[in-house]
Amino acid sequence: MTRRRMLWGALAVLLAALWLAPPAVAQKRGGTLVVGNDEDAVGLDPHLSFAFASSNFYEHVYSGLTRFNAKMEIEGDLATSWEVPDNTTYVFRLRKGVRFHNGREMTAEDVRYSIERVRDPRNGSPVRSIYSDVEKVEVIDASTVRLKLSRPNASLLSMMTGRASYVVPREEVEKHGTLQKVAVGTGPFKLVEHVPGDYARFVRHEQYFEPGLPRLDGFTIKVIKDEPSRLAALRRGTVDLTWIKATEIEELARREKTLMSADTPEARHLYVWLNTRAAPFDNVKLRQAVAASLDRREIIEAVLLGRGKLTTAIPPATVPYVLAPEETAGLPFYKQDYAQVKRLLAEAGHPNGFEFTLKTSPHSPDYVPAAQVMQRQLAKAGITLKIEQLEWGTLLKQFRGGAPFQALAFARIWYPDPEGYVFDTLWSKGSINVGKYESAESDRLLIEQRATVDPARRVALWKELQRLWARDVPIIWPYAMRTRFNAWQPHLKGFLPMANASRVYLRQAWIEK
Amino acid sequence: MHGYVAVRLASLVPILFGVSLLVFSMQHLVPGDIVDIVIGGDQAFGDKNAADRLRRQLNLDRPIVEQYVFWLGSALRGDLGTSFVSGRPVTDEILRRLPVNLELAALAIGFALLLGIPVGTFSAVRSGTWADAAVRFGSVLGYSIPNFWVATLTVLLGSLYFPRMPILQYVPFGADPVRNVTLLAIPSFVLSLTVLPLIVRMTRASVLENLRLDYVRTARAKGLAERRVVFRHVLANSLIAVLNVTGVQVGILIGGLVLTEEIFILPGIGRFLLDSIQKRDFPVITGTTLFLAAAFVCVNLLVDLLHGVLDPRIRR
Repeated sequence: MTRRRMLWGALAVLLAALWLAPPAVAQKRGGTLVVGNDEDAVGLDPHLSFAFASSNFYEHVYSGLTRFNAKMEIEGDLATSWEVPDNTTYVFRLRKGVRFHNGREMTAEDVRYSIERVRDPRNGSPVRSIYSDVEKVEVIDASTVRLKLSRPNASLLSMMTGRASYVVPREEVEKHGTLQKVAVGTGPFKLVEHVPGDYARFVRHEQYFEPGLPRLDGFTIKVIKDEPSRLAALRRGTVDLTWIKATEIEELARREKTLMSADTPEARHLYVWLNTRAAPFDNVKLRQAVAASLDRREIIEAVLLGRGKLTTAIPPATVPYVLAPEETAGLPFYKQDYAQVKRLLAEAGHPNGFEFTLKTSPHSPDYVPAAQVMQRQLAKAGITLKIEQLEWGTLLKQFRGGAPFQALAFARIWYPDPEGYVFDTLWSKGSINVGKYESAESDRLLIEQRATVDPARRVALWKELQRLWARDVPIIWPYAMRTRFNAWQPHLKGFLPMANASRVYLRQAWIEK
Repeated sequence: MHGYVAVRLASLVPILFGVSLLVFSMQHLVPGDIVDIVIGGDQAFGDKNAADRLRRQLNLDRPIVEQYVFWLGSALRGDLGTSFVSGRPVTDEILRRLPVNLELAALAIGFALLLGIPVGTFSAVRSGTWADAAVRFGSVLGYSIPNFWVATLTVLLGSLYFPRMPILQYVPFGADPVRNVTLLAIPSFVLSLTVLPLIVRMTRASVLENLRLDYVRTARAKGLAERRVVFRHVLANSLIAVLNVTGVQVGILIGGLVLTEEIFILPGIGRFLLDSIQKRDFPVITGTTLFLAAAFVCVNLLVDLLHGVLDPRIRR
């Protein structure tokens, strides 16, 4: 072999190596984006604001002790690690050198102050009850905080994740009274301008603690309520990222070959509350008869164009607590069975059927169509469903005020830990148990899971509860669907949509044109 | 003349008082307040005391009469209150959005007049022909089609077939005048479609009426060319009636056609009002409605004054 040939050989190998080596992912820095949001914030204070839409804005500005990743698992945020030495103690170790947007370094004292701020009844925080079992918040040293609980609370960590543990700087709260109009946190982006009803502009926090992040120079959230306009703006490229809520507009968006999208697990489910204290639904057999008259798949096809799933009290996104899809499909009264309905009606003393009124609202586009499909399915079983449509404000007022009703329908969005919204809904003394459901067995399991810190055991208890509620039918959950359909321009890279309708992954996104 | 203007301006006081009373009571007849709406059904784990606290903070727990008197007191001092949602003064928020509406209204009226008067005149001169029938049919159709529907179609089809169509953005006039007008052209054209049919019909009716009058016969008898008769004499006299209709429409357009503004994502008063109604932001609803009522009255006054200038017959 001549030297020249060897040289050529070496060169060929080198070229091949270059060719085969995976191209380094160029995560470019810089650039700005426009995000289309359906609602404007109603107050920016993460501890005090009531509106869900506010979180679409403040989530970029603040960091909490822990956060959810794209799979909705808990990971450290301001806390690098945490321990649970016993059932009633949580110790958080904090990241060092974290700076607020005003330049000051964050300390354990800020964490204590922020949690106390949520706990203080005078502040009226809507998330205060998350800390109802917390007795004391202690600063151990500059980077260690300890929570002492009065009794075990298995859902605490999950419930704290997010805004209840967001750390706010005391001096800014004292200067402005509240943080409703300003936003100063330790998060990846700083809020520089908010024009209510129009847009909010964010820029990179240069001292953000995750090295190299965020990659974007900043972004603007533009408020666009109208669904077709949001899709049109995305098509035209005046918006780079948005979500769609209306099913028919979602179908249009899915047909766009040039747009990117990703499906998140189903986290929103329709509730048909039955009043278990008043006729006719004080009789469990009549509740079961209604459940067994429904063909849930037909409802999903007709109302959601097939984009929905069967669900129990907790929707499919609630991993690992949710039942497997096959088990859900086989739950009692989950299949349409008119023979069974006939038997149940006879046993309940209503062989010729009965009549009830369902209150709902045209507020969300799926409520009334779902009620109409159920009406048709129930009619075949001899059960007359009368639909009473109310204005959304009225429905909520009645719901809160405890007005008399037979059945009531609207959708709710889940929380990663089922306790977050199910406990108070189905516990006999729960604050939102509007159907006044009472079951000794259900109460016992609910209380037991709350004190169970062993994850596997707790999952088993939740599965048991779902089976129990399927049999007892305090509420019918006809379907679960996604909260949002996220779509974006192909030049937006590294963005991950989340089941809880959060866009925090903008912190690692970049633009590639 | 000055006396006339003073009387008209003084009439604003009872009008605004009446409007405020009406709006205030109406918004309280509608069920639900901002606390109900904003907390919503999904935020179920909030605690009830917090909602009551919020209500107390916003004075929503007081009797309606007391709330009204309180509001009236500050309104008389020129303070329309602060928005429940943003916490900013309502007056500032309205004034910030006003330029958008003024520009939209001006452009829309411009388009409508530019198109409407020639078409209306043409229709009148050719009255009874197929062309006239087509114009009349078109204007009835145009008047019956809801503007938000045209707007939605423009936005959806526009983004699909003409991706470069300049819509769905807004740049303030001060920042880039050319881009500003380009971006407002299509929305204001769509808006003008609400006024156009009226102007066409009014022009047509008025021209037809004038064509039958004696002075037209005189003009024709003088041997004037028909073109001169129509444009010089008839049209000039007909435009006074058109001006009246236009005046009323300008008032309506300043309010923005609420939904059209929303669909084209223009940061004007209409969108502000729509949002405040959905969120039950009472100070904004009252303040904006009041402002629009005042604008409406003022524009009509202006039109009446202009009327006097144009028509020597009613000049005193």
